Amino acid sequence: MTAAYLRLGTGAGPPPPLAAQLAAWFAQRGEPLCVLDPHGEGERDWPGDGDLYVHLDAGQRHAPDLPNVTVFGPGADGRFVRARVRPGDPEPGDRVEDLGTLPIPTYAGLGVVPPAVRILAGRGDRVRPVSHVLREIVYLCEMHRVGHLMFDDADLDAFPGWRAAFEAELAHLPWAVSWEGFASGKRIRRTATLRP
Amino acid sequence: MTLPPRLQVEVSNRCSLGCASCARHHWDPAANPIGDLTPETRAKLGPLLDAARELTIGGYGDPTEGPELLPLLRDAKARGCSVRLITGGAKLTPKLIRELADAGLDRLVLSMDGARDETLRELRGVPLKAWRKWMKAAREARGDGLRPLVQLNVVVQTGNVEELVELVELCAEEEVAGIHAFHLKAYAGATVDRCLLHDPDAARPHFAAARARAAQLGVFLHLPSLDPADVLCRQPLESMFVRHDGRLRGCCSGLFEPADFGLAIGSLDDVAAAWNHPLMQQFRAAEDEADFPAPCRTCSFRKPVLSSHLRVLGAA
Repeated sequence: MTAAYLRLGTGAGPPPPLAAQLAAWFAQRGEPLCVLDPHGEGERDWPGDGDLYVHLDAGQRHAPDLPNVTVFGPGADGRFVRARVRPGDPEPGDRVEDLGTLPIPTYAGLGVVPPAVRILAGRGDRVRPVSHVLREIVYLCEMHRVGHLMFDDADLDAFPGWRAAFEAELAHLPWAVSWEGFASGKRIRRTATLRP
Repeated sequence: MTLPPRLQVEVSNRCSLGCASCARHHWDPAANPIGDLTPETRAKLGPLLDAARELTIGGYGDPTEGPELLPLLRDAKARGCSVRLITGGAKLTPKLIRELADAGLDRLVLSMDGARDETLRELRGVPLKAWRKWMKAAREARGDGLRPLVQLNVVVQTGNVEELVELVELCAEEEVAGIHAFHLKAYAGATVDRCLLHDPDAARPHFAAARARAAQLGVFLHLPSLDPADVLCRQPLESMFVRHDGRLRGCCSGLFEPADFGLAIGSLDDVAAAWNHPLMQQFRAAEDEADFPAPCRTCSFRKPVLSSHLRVLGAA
């Protein structure tokens, strides 16, 4: 079985949620996924015999321009000639229309999960069901005692009704979880309260 | 008045199941008469429910046996609590699950000590198909939503530890969110060798395999410690436990009589006094191990050593 490799490109910060979701995807399929160099300094552990997925933040440039490399994230752009470029979305194979069918990220193999994590409400024009996002949050709270969520989405209000439904469901969790994200051009923050 | 953000209420100490690991087989029946939470006692819970973020319904009986189960759930939801119910399934039916979901239950915790039919029949006296039926009913009740989320509580022991991976896979198959596992406590001396702490190294490969599979499948999994380092307990800082008869405890340990294994702190007649009971203050102020209340110093939930899990009761 050919291994897939994932390189995170976010310095010492939390792993990008797309990468975590990709890791979950491979893990659920029982395929080995190797996480390379969480500091994004290079591919020295990548033997080159399998696919390499490289997440690039805006302004990041370093990734091998090879046919079995997929670059994704804000920094993935047209300067790559041979590498596959998937701006914003690394999912392998055919496009998944129902994001609720994807496995939730568990951050298995991605190192220590901090108390504040990055998370996604959707991908491009597709939105994750609120229940799917909440399942991920339940997992993060149960396993990693996460207390703060940072949505990576450019505009949470691009998904009509989603934010209100999310806040209503979040109030039913037994933990005080705060969150932040962009909605309608504004940075919004919701503090955690002991009572819903 | 400051009150705890987490509350647990036992709606009955009645149970028609005969689970092998239960203290009920060995406790003094005269000191533990069977009874249910009454409407009058439930009415006294108002201030506690107003303060609590989370209510757990469960105790030393099966809550499905208590007539106040649904009224308490509705009270708690009306007051803004997140509510979970812990049940072995004594009187659990798909119809009741639907009623619980309609009343707003957030989490259904099923006590399930194995993944195989023969194990479940031996340890719980209930066939596997019963759990699958409850899981299916919960799935149907929540539809496209999240609630009630289903979780398993597992007493992990020598007779089921090799089924942990299967149990994780069953969770993924049945859309169960995760598992909390606990060591067996031996209420009779003869059962102590079933506790994994009797030979922790034998359990380690099973724990490692289960953790890996759970991470693959997105199933949360809490396994008890196999090493002797103390486990952090926060219960007297944030929780209070109400028995069916209105007596209060400061932690979840040994919610029966005698109160040797837990913190007996009074009754619903004076909730503030109970929350500030000297035992609670002693726990909160403790800096060294010797400062903790006596039950805490040997508590099985704080001390993952075999001696703390040997809780032989007088009648055993």
